[in-house]
Amino acid sequence: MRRATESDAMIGTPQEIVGRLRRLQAGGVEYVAIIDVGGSLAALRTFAREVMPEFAE
Amino acid sequence: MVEERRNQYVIASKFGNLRRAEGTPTADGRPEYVKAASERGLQPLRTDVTDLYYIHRIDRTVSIEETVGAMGDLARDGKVRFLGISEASPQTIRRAHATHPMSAVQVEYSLWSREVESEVLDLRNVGPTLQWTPRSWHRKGLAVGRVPRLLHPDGGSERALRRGGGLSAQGLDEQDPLFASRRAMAFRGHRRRASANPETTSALMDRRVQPASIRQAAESGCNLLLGQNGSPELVAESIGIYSRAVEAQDRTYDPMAVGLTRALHIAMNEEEREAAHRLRMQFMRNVQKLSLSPTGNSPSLGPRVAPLARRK
Repeated sequence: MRRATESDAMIGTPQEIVGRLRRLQAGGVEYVAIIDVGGSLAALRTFAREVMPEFAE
Repeated sequence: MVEERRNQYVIASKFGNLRRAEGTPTADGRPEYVKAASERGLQPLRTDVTDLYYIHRIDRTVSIEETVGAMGDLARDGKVRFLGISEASPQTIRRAHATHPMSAVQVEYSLWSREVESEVLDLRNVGPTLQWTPRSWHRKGLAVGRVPRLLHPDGGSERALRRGGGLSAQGLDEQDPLFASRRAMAFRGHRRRASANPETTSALMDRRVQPASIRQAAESGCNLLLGQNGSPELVAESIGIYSRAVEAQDRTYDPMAVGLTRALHIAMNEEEREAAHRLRMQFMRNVQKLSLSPTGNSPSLGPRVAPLARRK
């Protein structure tokens, strides 16, 4: 079950998500539309603080 | 944050799409709810105005005039700038627009769900201010489709429009013969879905790359939107096909021409991780179920406008 969902969705800690985005970037992705399924403010804050700066230009 | 650079943001928000305690969907369009929801939305952003405020789901226990009347009050009080309506029937859109001008209509419009072509898109003549924000063009992971080329009636910046700004569906077929052919293909796909073709299901689930479709998108100068179910390998392969097809035409490949959608579930511990996986599996089962449904309509929402078979 894990394998099926882990190949695509970004599930995990901020560090894991940075890793997944880096992998996509290595495959040529520059434009990702993120859908925060849970929709919690805390998750969005975590994403903004810990994931986004890694990709700031 | 937002308050410091308020003029750099366009804030759109919706109200009224709720779930009952037992999980079934419901709507709230009562005037008092409309106003309270608007206030609640503004506070965390520390701003005093929402640029575009949508009705998310129509509350059938309240007349649309009452709901939109309350939205109009918010506009007059300066709490919202423009009004929008989402997932409504053509009749309801007309009535809403007559009560207070609607600036945006959001409907699902994808190769997966093209019911709106029968009636709703005709409403583009209702008002000069009406803009279309097609929802879910990559509906439920609808494989590798290309974003239909939607043209603004007065020209506008086509490139910006294709990226999902204000959109209109003026003369789709006339302006874009390829879109017409894709419609025919999608219609064939629609019939195949009804026969539970496993190959079609696999494509809908993004489990294989569709090189012909991607090349067609590249060659016709369209952007490419990749659904959320493709693995990183499939995504990289799709981008390779697209960029090579663009360069084969002596054009420069712009990486921003390819968009990828991804679901995000931040999980800080094992429990949250398990919950996220469960949610994800449920989503994928729903996609599978939908791909086998003869109408392509969401079982939870049911058909909202005329089914495809009755299309002119």
